[in-house]
Amino acid sequence: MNRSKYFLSFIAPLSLILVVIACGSETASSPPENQPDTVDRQQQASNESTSPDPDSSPGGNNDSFGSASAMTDDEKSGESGEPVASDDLVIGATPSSSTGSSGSSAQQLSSPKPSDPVQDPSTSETQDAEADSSGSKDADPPAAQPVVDFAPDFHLASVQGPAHRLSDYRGDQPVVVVFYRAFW
Amino acid sequence: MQSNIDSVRSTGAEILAISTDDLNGPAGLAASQGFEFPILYTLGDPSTPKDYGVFNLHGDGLASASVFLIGTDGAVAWESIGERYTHQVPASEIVKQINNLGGA
Repeated sequence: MNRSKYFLSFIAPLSLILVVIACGSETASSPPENQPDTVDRQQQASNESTSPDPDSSPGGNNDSFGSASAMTDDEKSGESGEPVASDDLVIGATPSSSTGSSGSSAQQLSSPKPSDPVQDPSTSETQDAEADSSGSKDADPPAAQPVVDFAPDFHLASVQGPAHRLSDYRGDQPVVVVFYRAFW
Repeated sequence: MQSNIDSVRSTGAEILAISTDDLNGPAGLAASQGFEFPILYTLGDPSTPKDYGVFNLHGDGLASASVFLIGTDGAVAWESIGERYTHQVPASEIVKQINNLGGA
C-alpha cells in the first residue's frame, strides 16, 4: 500500500507532465497540418518521452510497475475521454434535432409521394392502392403509443390450480393484466 | 390491497396477475391466499412478459411491475410499465382508465 501510494505520488506529477506534452502536441499538431514532418517529429518525441519513463521506473517491483502503468493508462483514457464526452454532447445534440427534423421531413416526403405517382395514369389504381397501403403502414407506428397494440394471448398455469387463457376472457369484459413482483 | 382489488373488480373488469417470480416458495403461498383473481406464473418461460415488452427491463430476468388494460376488442387500451422495482399503479387510476374505456 505504501509502495502504491509512493508510485501514485510519483506518477501524478509525471502524468501532468504527459498531459502538458500531449496538449502541446495536439495544439501544435492542429495548426501546422501543412507541415507533416514537424508533426511526426513531435509525435515521435512525445512517444519517446512516454516510453522511456515506465522503463526507467520499474526498479525491481513488477507489481507496482503494473499498477503504475495502469494508472497512466487510466489517466490517459480519462484525458481522451474528456474531449470525447464533449464530442458526444455535440453529437448527441445534433442527431436528436436532426432525426426529429428528418422524421418530420420523411413524413412530409411520404405524404407527397402518393400524389406524385399520378404521372403514370395507366396503372394509377394499383399504385394508389400501394401508396395507400404504404401510407397506412407509415401512419401506424406514431399512432401506436402502447408497446403492444393488440394484447398477445397467453396460456399460463395459476397458483390456484387451473390454467387461464387470456382469450377466454377477451371480449366479455375488460381485462387488467398485472405483471407483479412478489419480492420488492 | 383487497379493497383495491374490489374497487377494480366492481367495474366488471377481470384481473389476471402474472408473476415471474418463483412462486414455489412461501411467498407464492402467501400471495395466493385471499386473492380471488387468478395468479398466473410463467415457470421460467419469459415468452409472455417478452410479448408484452416488460421482460428483463431491469436486467434481473424478471418482468417489470406493470399493468395492461385490455379492452373487449382485445387491444391494449392503457398501460403502465414500471421503470422501478417499487412501481405500483393506484387502483383508482386503473378504475379511472376502465371507466374511460367504458365511456369510449
